[in-house]
Amino acid sequence: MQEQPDVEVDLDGIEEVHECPRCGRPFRRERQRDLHLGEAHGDLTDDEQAAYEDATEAETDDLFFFHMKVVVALGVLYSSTVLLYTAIVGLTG
Amino acid sequence: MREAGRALLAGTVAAVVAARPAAAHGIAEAGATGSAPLWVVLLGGGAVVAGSFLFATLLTDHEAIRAVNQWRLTLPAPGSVFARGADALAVLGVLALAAVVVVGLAGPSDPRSNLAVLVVFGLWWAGYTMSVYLLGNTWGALNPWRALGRVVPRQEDRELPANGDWPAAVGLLGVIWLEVVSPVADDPRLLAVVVLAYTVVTLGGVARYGEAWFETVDPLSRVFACFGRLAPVERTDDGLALRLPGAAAADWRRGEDISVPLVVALLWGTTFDGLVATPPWAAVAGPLVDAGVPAAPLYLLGLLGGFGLFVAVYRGAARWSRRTAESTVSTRYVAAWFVPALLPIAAGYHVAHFLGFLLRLAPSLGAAATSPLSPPQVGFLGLPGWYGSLQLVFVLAGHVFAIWVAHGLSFDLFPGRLQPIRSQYPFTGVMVLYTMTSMWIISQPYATPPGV
Repeated sequence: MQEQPDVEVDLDGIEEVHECPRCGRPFRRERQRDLHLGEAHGDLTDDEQAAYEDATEAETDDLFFFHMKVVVALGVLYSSTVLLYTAIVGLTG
Repeated sequence: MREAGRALLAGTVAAVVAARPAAAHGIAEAGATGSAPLWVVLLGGGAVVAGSFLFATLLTDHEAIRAVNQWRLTLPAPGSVFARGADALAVLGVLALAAVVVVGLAGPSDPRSNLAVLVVFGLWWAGYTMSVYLLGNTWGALNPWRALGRVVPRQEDRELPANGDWPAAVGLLGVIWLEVVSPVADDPRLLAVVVLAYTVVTLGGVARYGEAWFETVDPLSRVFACFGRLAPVERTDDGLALRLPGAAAADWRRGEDISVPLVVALLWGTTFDGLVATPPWAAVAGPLVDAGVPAAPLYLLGLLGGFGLFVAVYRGAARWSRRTAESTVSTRYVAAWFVPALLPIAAGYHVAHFLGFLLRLAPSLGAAATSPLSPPQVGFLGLPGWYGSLQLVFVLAGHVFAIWVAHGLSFDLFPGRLQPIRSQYPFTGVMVLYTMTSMWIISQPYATPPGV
């Protein structure tokens, strides 16, 4: 279990929140709340456990696509930097 | 002396980023072939920071991140060693303070050979500060005012206000302002007077508020406590623990002695100290000073204006982070949560700014230490041309560490794996801009700050 910070929240302009049934911490998204439950609190009920597992699965799927984008971004960043340096050295050398 | 130090500091870097029109500043014509123009170096620096962030996002396991940041190697050591070490350091600190005052008043008036100036600006603010963030925070033991505070009569009849964040930040900005506008680094007598004044204020504070003065108000103690969080060596109940650099900063919890204004003041103060010695500052401040604007308030305005800008940008990033992370956590909380990530940046900038300064002064320090009242004349130590690129590497390394510290902090604040990453978009953006700004300042040739 992860030790939880005692956060200060600001709900101004936020219409809907999902509160953690154990510690009351509010979240903007249901998935955030479900993930928090599994990470922060032990002995979940069966429903909570199922929700945590669903949320983890959805997060893993999203993370996969996110990481694809990261790999592409890293590739672009790397190759454009190398190209830029090559061009500069070619021009000034 | 500060000028001489800064001039060399700037000159060596300029040799690296040399493809700029050399005639403009009359520097660094050597090495222009094949080296990149400044803007390319800056873009490259920004790319390294952005790339580090992208790499960090690949590590998303809460347990693994925490395992890295909480890894410790305990080195058992008996408490008596620490007690004796602390006593020895306290004696050393008091002797050094006495030496600074005596030599400052009675020693040679040339700052380049006066031990007081060399000790305060070279050995202590450049060298000792590095030991705090590279090794461990020993200031609690060395602090001469703490030792002297034990013997002053105390009333301790006042409680410090609960929110003591601002006095230390204001004190720090005040010290930086004094260092920039007054000839305190060039006039040993003035330095001795300033040190005595600091002593009087500090001991007065201790007499009134007790040890809490050092934990709350005293800017030096607060700065070293912050920097000490980056150090790999940590004092524990059983002895010493070895940690990864920056891990203690990633582990910092709110409620402990952490302060957004102080850390931002530290970061901005180091930046400002470099900025005033650049040609663009001279181009802006020079005409104003010539037109009769007094320098001291002008620099104060610049210092406070820049500080306000830094605080606003940092708070803006925190507010924006709340949005990108879709979080209910308040802006104030987010800002305070991530502020330890600014410390490696401040430390990286400090090394870049002061390591060369310390090395150059080393021969003078040695000479002045052997004979404080009539030191032999020695020259400055020359530094190789590649030292300039090393400075840029230090700035970059600070930012890369900062990315890692912020990454660890984000996974402790937000659940899941995407929310913590998304919370870092604004901070990373600001950091990329700041990397390029500070690399630009470091690479500027030295220009005498106008009017001071």
